[in-house]
Amino acid sequence: MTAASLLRRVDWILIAAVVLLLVIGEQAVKAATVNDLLGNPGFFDRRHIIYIVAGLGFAAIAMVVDPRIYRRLFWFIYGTTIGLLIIVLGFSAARGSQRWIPLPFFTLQPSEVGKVTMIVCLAIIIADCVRRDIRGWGMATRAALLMLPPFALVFVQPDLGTSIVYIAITLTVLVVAGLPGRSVALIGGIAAALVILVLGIMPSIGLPLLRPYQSERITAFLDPQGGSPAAYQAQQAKIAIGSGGLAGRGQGISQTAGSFLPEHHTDFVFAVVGENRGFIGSAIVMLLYLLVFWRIGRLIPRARNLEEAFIAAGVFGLLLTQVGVNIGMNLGIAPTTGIPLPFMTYGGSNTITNLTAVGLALAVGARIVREQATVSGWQERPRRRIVDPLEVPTDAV
Amino acid sequence: MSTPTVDEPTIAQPPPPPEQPVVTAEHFDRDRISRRVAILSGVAIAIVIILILRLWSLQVLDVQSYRAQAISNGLRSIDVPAARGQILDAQGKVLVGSRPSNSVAIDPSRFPDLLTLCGRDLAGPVDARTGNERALGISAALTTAASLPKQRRIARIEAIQQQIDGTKQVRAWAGCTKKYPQLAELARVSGITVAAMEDAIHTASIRAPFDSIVLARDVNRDVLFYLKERAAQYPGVRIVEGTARAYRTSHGAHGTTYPLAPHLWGELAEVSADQVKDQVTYRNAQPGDLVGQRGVERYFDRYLRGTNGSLQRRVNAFGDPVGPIVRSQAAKPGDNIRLTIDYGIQSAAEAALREAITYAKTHGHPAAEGGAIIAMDPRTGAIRAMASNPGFDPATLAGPEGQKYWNSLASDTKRSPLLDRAMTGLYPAGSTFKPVTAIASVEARVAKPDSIIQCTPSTTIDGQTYRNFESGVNEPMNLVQAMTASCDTYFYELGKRLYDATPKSGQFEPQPLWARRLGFGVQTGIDIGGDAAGSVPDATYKKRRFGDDRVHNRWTSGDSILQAIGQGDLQVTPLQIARLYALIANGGTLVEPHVGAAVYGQDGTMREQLPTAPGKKVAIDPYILSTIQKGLEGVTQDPNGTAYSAFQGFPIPVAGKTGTAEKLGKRDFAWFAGYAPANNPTLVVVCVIEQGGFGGVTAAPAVRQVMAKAFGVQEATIGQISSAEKAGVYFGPALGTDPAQQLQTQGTTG
Repeated sequence: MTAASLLRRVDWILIAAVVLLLVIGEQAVKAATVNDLLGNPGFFDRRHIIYIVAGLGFAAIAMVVDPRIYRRLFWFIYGTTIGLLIIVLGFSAARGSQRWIPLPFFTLQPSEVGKVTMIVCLAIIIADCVRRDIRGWGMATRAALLMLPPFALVFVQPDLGTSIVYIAITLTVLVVAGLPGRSVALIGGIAAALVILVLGIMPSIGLPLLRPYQSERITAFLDPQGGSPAAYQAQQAKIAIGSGGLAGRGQGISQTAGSFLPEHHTDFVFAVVGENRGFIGSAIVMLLYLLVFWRIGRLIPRARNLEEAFIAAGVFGLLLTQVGVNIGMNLGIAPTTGIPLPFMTYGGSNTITNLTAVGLALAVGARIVREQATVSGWQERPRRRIVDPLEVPTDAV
Repeated sequence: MSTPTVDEPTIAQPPPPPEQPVVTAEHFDRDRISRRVAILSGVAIAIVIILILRLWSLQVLDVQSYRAQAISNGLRSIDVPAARGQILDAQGKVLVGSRPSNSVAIDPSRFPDLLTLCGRDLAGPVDARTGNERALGISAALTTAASLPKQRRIARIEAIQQQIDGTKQVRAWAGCTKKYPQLAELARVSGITVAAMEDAIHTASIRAPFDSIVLARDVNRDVLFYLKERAAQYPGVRIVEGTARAYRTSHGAHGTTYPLAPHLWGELAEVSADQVKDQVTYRNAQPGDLVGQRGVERYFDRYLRGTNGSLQRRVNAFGDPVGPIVRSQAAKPGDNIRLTIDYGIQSAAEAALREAITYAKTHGHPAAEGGAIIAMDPRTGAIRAMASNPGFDPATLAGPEGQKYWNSLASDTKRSPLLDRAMTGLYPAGSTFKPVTAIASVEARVAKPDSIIQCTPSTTIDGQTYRNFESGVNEPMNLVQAMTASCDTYFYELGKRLYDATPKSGQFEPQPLWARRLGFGVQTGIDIGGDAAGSVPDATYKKRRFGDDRVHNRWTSGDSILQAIGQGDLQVTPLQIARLYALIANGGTLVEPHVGAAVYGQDGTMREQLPTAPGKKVAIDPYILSTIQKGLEGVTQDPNGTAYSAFQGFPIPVAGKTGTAEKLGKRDFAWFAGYAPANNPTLVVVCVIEQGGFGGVTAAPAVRQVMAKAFGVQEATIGQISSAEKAGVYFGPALGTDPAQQLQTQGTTG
């Protein structure tokens, strides 16, 4: 595929929406961290820009690479992901969990990498199921078998937030792949029952499955005045956002820049936008996310093949879950879990991961079944053109 | 989100690419997938709508409330500690003042897991730890307990020990220093013990979570400069400026200085949870305030403490100021307290006490360990001096090494330097108690002031022989003579008569009855509190003490006879004796001792005259009192008097009584209690020297020295007075009498 044809087919609306979010996020990180390191106000901002540039590089690579190649790399991708998730458990814990592999310049968070790699693996497996007419429980079981090892490895780190994202990705792909509505409802019911079991019943009979800080976050969510650190964080986020008003307070000595809000450049970066830019800025951010969802969602039925459709579905699920839970927790309507806000939260692993995921979506988008916008309708066009646009002879265009 | 519309036609099946499985239209059912995507899109839209509605509610509907919270969030109210008031002597000399002092504190917001990791919790879960760490935790617990009042301290220590024995549950500190190495480093460089840090953090857990935790008060300059230079290595550690107590010292010979009245002040400590509830003693005390724990600092805490001020500054979440002061309220310094204590008399009393002990030690009484002197105005009960020896240095106790110093003092059970012997020392009274016997006998009508009783070398009553202290005497005496010569057999006879006059029940034995009336066996009611009650044995006491032991549980003539000369199980404090002699001096009023005189503002104006109780008039025949007064005058003025030589040449007439009290297993305790001027008493002075031998030799010269200072008499030292007495010659320079005068060797029964 030539660079020219790729650039012609690329979804510039999606790119524009993501770049706008990146810029707003970068501004928020810069404003929030200006006082974090005395004498070095630009420290986090500079690092964040480097991560963004690196992430855009990964996105470009993901866009250029033909997704069909992933089938051949399936075991390599899956094995590497599992390997990294095992290796990370050997490193010493930071803030109570083992999530990071220290590298020079950078600490790698394998569970973030896994978000993208598992989307690819899951898409391949589910596509095979659909082709072999394995639907319903057979498909769900295969998906579960694939996702269980990475899920378990992330859960024991412990990283509740990321493991929830894995579940959400799986469910999204299964729903798109046509898992019967009854099964979806049943799986949803089982998940809800599990949540009640883990949060309610097990602790009450003396078998808590969550780490104290995890259950504390849940309690903090249920009782925001409880005075725990998590409740404090959530309360400070609400104060930051609420004080933004319609137009925002601008940047300066504020909740977020004054460090009243912990994690103001990571999990709670949305609160910074809320405080500095107000309702208008926050609503624009949410509409931009909606734009991203639309541009990715529209790819799913038009994808060149099932794998690519499910990759787009996985990316859709990944972004929707993270945006929903993260902003929900910033607004105090979801419990505090360590889920980043795509494109805006500071941090190398998640910035690169989410941009790579966008790169995957762009790759799918560049290879979709192109409708020929003619009056006569595109369905009459020879199918050959839409099998792989990259192989289309130039005279046919 | 937009999805492919339903009327979009289904995409037909593409031909199979070579490396892929066959994809058929049935497999890639784009219609079906479109419908599923529509569901997902609905979910996404719903989520975004919910979030935007919530955003609207927070940012547009509730903006006022959140903006107000945000603004107050950025304002930090910083306490400005009030300077503690000064403690002044009767002339306005500063006895206890303040000096600048620096504390090391940490900001808990920089140590998120501090309380769970570092807070000591005896009931907490068991962690793997070394015995050493456990010992640290225990010692920390015990040192906290050490600062409690006595009864609560005992209870607390028992509880701690039970907990240690029972569960071995002491939370480890190791996890904390592992996570926050700067704390371990701080402990190392500053000499603040790990136990003390742990303690401070633990205490802080009951306070507001965002207040700074003071790890060590009054750190020395070296540590201060070290920390200031390396602030970057100790994130979250702060230096807080404040004040600490400064204590006046008294000057001894050869330029030596001594702490002044250390027992009187009491130490300062952070107010405890229980103390905050005590709104009488600790009026308006806030958690974190330093309050007096005992003595003057405690009793007058509500005047001395003052009111903390506050500054409101715009700060970041770590409390670092980032803007100007928004609002400030100045601290209101505490008021000064003027005491009745007189610096000159107090210094003289302490010097006299030291010299008397040294003298006793070097003159045949090596066991002489401690003693006390009290000087009091007999008309009002105002205490002019109150000295107890051995003492301690309150400045060291308030300093950075205070805890270690306290531990060493508290463990010194041989000398008990923390014991205020003047108020809480319990002693047999010896002959200083004889006036009580005299009063009881006359009031119970078993003798008249003029009754003549033969003073014999010994007397046998109910088959028991009682010896006179002075064995070479055998002459008839009246009360005046018996008091002057301290004739024991005279008072044995009174004790016998008092016993015989007792109803068979033993309940109303006049001797203990009068002892209690005259202030023994009960607390004196001194304003700073904390004095001991002592005990006055009687029939009830014997029953209680000996229970069913038929031989010992009855009140016998022997008990009455021994109590008549202040022996037996009788236990008195020097303060009680001072009160008795004040009563004799003032003609029958039992005064209430006090040290507080008035409250002054920082501008020097008097705020409040501290109330003093008028004293209790005890109904005693004036004739018996004047007879006793005459007897006491004879003690110092009659050549037969037991303190004649000690007061010889003293220009002011002194009345008093010596005492040489016996205590089982110990050497004799030397007493002297007296007042001056004898005709118009303005000062009572009582001295007791533990195991110091004869009262007339050891204690009386010390009293003379204090009186000399109080009345401005130029005097020789106590050593010279006592040596002269022993040699039978006095050559003191200022006595103004014939130095070659022969003195009788004294046979003191004290």
